[in-house]
Amino acid sequence: MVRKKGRDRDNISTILNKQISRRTALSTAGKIAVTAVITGVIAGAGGYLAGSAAAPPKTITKTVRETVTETVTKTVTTTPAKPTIRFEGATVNVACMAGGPEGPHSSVLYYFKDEWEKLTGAKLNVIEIPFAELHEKVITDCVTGAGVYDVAKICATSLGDLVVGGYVECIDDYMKDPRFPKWDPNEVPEPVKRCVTWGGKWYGIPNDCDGIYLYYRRDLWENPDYRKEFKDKYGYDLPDPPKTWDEVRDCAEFFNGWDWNGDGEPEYGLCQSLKVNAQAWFKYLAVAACYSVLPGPVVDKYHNVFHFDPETMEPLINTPGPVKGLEMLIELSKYGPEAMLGWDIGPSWDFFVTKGKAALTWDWGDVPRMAQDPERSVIKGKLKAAPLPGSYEVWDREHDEWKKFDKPIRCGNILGCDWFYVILKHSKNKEAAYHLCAWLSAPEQLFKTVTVIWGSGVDPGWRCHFPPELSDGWGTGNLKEWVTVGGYDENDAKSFLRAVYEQYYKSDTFLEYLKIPGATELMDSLDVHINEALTGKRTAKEALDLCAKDWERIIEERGKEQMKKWYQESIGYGLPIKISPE
Amino acid sequence: MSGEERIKYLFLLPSVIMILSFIIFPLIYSLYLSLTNWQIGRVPSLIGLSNYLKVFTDYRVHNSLTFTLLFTIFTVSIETLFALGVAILSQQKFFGNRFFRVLFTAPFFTCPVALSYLSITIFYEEGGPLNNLLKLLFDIKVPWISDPDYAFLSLCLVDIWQWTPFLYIIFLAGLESLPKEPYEAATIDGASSFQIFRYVTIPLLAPVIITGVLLKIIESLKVFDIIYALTGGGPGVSTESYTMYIYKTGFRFFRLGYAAALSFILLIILMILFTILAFRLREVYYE
Repeated sequence: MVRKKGRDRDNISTILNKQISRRTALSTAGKIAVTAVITGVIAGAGGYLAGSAAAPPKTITKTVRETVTETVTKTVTTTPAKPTIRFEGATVNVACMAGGPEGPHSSVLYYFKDEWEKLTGAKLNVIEIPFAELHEKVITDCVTGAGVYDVAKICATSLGDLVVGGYVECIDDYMKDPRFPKWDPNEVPEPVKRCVTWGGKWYGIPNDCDGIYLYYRRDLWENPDYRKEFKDKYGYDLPDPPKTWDEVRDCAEFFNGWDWNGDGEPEYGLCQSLKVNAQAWFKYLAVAACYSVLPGPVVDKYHNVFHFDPETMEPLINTPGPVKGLEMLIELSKYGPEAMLGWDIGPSWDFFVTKGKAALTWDWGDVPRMAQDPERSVIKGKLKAAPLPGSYEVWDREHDEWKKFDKPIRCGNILGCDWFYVILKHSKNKEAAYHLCAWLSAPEQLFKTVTVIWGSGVDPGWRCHFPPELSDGWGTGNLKEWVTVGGYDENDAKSFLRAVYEQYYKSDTFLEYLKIPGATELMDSLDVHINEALTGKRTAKEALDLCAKDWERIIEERGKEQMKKWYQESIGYGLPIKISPE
Repeated sequence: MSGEERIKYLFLLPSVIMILSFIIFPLIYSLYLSLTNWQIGRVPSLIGLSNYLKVFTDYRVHNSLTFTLLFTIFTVSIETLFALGVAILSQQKFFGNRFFRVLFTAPFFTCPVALSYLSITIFYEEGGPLNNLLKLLFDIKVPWISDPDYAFLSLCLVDIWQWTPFLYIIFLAGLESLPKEPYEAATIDGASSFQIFRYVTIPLLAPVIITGVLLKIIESLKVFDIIYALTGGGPGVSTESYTMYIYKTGFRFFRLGYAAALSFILLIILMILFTILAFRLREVYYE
């Protein structure tokens, strides 16, 4: 067939010159309108369903804030901070994770905004940034010198880039200045302290204590039939709490694949969020740390380190400890739904708290808080918490062997963002900025933050959070307030607070937080490779060998000597370990 | 040069400034960046072609390129066949034809991110509507997101659902504009429906098909949003597209020099592809 070019031109010209009748115009407009409506419905439905299924479960700030704020004023021992210093006319722009007035971290700023503005005469401007973009937005602001933000509430992985780039203010002098609100650095857990300091100097004002704990179902563990069946099967009592990951595995195996809650469907042993490009690597580190971090009095070449050899910057991620941790995670993952490999934290929380379909999980402090919401939780009053399990053997690199212990060695952790405030160097209102951060981390505000503001995303760990009876007499908090003000079931609160205290102040060692420049890239590689191992694409050893190779390349590219110096500064190399509050 | 001629240049000036500012300068600056080792906290220095050479040893580049190519081939092929079929079908006269046409184009106007989040709900493995249906009918549960092969399939299904209407619109417009005479001649000559389709419709529609396919290939090679929202590139890096890797390198790892080099490579690939297809298009058009 031959097509004539001229004929084409005629056709096109006919179409272009054709006049549109009113009827056609109306018909076309009608079609467009119908299309727009259908599109809107689809997009709306998508947004709604995505919001309900994919997003983390909503918190219940509204309920609690409305019903208990009045109680707070009566029961919490609040000493209103005296306005020793005022900042009339100043505006403090705070960059934080987007969550709105009821979401994680931003809710804290909205909640205290009016009170702080009244106290200081300054204006607080909350700038919300989606989690995935927070790091890049803050860094870009600093690098380009745009100077939009005075304060940023950041994830600890960002600290290295900010400190070595010279973009954040050292707060040592501010901490000594009596004009500012007081928060006591000795009332913060050691891992949190190490997260916000660099080379012995303070750069962050701590706020959150982002640890991962073990959670399991009280009703299952206290069921005499289940206890008997467990003992018959495994030859030892149902461990309460499970003290090693082997015990966790046995419990998960025992409760997996049968109907233990009488709903007619089989339940699972555990649930977990193991999606790549989300936060799965934290869940892996929670398991692997106890096999890998050898306790010792100081941070040195062989003790209290996990990621790199601090003297050579050789990656340790493919040594026997972390490999055993990954093998354990792979084994554990068999006792949860296969879908976990595609889950971020939201679906996992939903599965454990709202559906009540798993016997145990290990997760952040958000779980017990969500479990108290009667509208979303089926496990209120049925929750037990424990510090993360340990191991009877830890890999000893110095002697190239597994070192045995008489009791399980527990490795405390900060495994998450451990959100804290930093004052950006280019801020024109540094004093006002520091005042805000210090005031938010003062005991009065911090107690409200973890109890009243349910959606705060801030987890307990400071001295003010612990009742003395649950913290060997050290804490200054009050259990009654957790129940009356916070709305917690008393047993749930007791179990949770004791677990937090034991993890932060009674562990044998703790996992150092990787916050050197390039941490995001290093963790991305770990994330990808553990996911490959979990999906069966590689063995644990193969996956971590590849990860180590990536880490070597990243360290080489960034300059090994420089990275070694930063790594040592970031982990407090050579400094003694202090875990107990005494 | 007369005053009238000078004024011509004055009117051209805004366009020239805009092109220089928004196209030429960023292009040259990113080319410069691609020759440096710029990272956060480090003074950039020129490192020649190292970033380009590194591409040959970076397994994530190989992985993401392979994924992107497979994704493009798979989705564009299915979409083209499907769109062509539906376009021909909707040319027939049947009740509800116009409504069907409008309905079929709706996914194209949906925001890709919203669509991806909707897909998360549909492909949700524990109690999602698709798995519930499969369980009811065949008693099976498909790991739509947690298995590398099914994750690839899920992404392709979402892309096909959204982008088939795009090709459908183009093909339908092409079909509607075809002349009637060749069909009448072929019918008089006793050609069968298939023969008419094979020897009349396809050759006449070829320029339109190539244009549509070319645009869709370019779009598929740049795929980002549905992957970011639906699988995050996982499991592992099995669904990590090339553009997603560029994004991570530049904006998560802040290795801006390397990210610029990766972007230039994509630009070169697209330009080569465009040139080849444009050349082919010209050939077909003048046949």
